[in-house]
Amino acid sequence: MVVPKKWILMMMTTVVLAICMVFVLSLYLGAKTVHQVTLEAQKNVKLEIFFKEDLSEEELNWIDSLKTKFEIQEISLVTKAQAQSLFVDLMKADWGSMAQDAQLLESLPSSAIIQFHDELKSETLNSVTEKVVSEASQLSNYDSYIFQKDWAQWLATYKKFLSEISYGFGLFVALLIFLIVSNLNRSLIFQHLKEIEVYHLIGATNWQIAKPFIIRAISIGIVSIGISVGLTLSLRKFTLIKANQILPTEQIASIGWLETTIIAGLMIFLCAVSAKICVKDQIK
Amino acid sequence: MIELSHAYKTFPGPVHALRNVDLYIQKGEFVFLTGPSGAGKTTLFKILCGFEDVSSGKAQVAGFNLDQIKASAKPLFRRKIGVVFQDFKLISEKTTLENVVLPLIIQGEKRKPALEKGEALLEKLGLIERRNLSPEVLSGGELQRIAIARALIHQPPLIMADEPTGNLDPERSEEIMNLLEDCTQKGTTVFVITHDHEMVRRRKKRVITIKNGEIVKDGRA
Repeated sequence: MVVPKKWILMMMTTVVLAICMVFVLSLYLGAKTVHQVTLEAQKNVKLEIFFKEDLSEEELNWIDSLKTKFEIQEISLVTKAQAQSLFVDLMKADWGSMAQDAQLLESLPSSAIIQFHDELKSETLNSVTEKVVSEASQLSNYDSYIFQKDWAQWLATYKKFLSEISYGFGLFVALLIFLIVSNLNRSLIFQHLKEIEVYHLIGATNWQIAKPFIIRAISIGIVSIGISVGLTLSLRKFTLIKANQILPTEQIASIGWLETTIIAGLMIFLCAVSAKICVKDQIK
Repeated sequence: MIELSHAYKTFPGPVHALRNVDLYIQKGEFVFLTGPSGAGKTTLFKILCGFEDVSSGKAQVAGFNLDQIKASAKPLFRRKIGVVFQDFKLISEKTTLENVVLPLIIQGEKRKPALEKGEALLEKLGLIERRNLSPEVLSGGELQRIAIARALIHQPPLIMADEPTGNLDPERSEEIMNLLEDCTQKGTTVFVITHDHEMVRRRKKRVITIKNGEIVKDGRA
């Protein structure tokens, strides 16, 4: 059985469009993941601060207000009594470490955190984190938060870059889709020139002539978006395993129904417009 | 049904294909158009079918002012006429029956009743056994009859035929001409381009002779 040339053309176009869309969707997922991780990094800051002296009621309230004000998930305060208890534990566990911590405890400034109390009120999250961490680092083991600050900063920088790249690539692929579908339609129209002429001569309207080509282009758009979503989700599963090894998060963004519908709608719209322009061009 | 008044058609060059053509054809008339090659028959035919515009003058066909018609109204006009093309213009990817019912489908008729009408017409033309074949495997005479069937299927008020018997043997030619003549009984106007002078004489119908873009003779054979 010989497969008609137009079917081969249509299948090739579908595959090429699907590959293009896999790139777009993957890039979109990448950008979305970075965005999510950045948000998570900025929000899920946990601090653990040692204090030499027990804090006053006012100081405790202020520290508590930091959590809601700057979306710091958790600030653990280790009071003097707790530190002494920990010190005893450390002493039992490791003499060397104990000696170091003992020295640290001795050198802790009294209620150090109060010194930047007023400044913090007008600061952004990153600088707050920086100051809190900076101050806390002088106190004791401060690094028990999920994301280190440099991670959050790095992600924030690349989030902007990635979204710009995504828009650029999205536009490029939109143009590519337009050209690919135009090319297919030109080939199909070329094969059906006589048919178009006959339709035209016996009273078919431009819409009646264009309809089969538009339907064909839309079908190709739907099939290729289906394939590309399937491929992207498979790729996501694979990426998830790899990503978990390098990213301090358990989640890679997924594609929602709304996003899929919007992307599919845009793709189908592009296919339809491209077909309509081609046929109109030929009828002229 | 057809009214041309001081119609001119000039192609770039300039080539004067039609000069000051005045023509009036009534509803239900059967008219032959004859003339030597290059006389302007095809140009006149194309103007009357709406495939070409007049350069100047008036052209009214089937109630449409063709000298002023908008591009969007042209398909509606073309549905009012049935055209038999010299080169048939059948679609090889479709079956004979599908080709015949095309005008009905374009006019929005449902597929099933359209196919039934098509089968009835093919039966009348002796082509019912060919209904599922591609035009590619049919003979010249069969193609001609299919083209005529397509022009007749939607019962247009005007039938335009360019050499409709050119590929047929005398017996089939007579059959086709009888079929076209029958259409005039129902009020359909038939306009036929032909070189077959013998057939024109036999039919004793109105004959318009064109030469160098001008009507030189208009009367009964």
